[in-house]
Amino acid sequence: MGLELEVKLFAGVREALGRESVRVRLEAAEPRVADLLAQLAAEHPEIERRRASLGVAVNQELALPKRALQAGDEVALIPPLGGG
Amino acid sequence: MSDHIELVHEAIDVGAAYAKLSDPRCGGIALFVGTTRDVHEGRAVASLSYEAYEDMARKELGKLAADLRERWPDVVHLCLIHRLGEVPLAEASVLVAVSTPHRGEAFAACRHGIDALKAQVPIWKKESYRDGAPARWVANRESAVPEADPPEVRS
Repeated sequence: MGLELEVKLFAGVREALGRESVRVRLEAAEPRVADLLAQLAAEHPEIERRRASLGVAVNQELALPKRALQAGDEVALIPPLGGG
Repeated sequence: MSDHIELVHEAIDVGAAYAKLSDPRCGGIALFVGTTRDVHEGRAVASLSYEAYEDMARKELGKLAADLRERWPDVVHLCLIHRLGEVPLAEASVLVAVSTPHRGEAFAACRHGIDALKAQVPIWKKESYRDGAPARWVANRESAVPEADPPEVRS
């Protein structure tokens, strides 16, 4: 059991971790976006510090914390946007 | 009717975009060009660069185009273009433009287009400063992912 996901990183959080993506393993039976953020924050202080300013995209759409995750989902951390 | 959506890594060709919008059915073209400014909150900006989650950004721009057409069904052609990578000061970083039979819809759709783009499309801007202050990622007030208080720790 457990779900392993590769999480894409951008902008400040990418620079803070010094890489384009990070792997995470979720042990919850039915893992959700909130579990993903909690696990990443527990493993990486750079993510913990930014946690309140991070959205999560699942399959290229912003997702709510209760959104369920499954194998093969494309997941990314989304810092506050600055386009324009 | 055409939707022209693009992420580019070189200068935005405003003339080429204009040519795509021009149409005998239209009485007007509203074309907004966002350009890079040399001062932010009183500090002189040395350079700016943009980064995107490119696949998602293209998808969000497509959704925005569909939303503009739903709200303003008279829109004939539209262009949504964002430049990525380093953008020299005073150059175009974004272009939002529509052509419509009458000017009212053109102004309204163009205004909504740039506001929604800043709120929804996963693109980030990094500014570095002439005074040597640390470079930082600057968030839009409109961002759908709000910046928490206290502000994000920036690198």
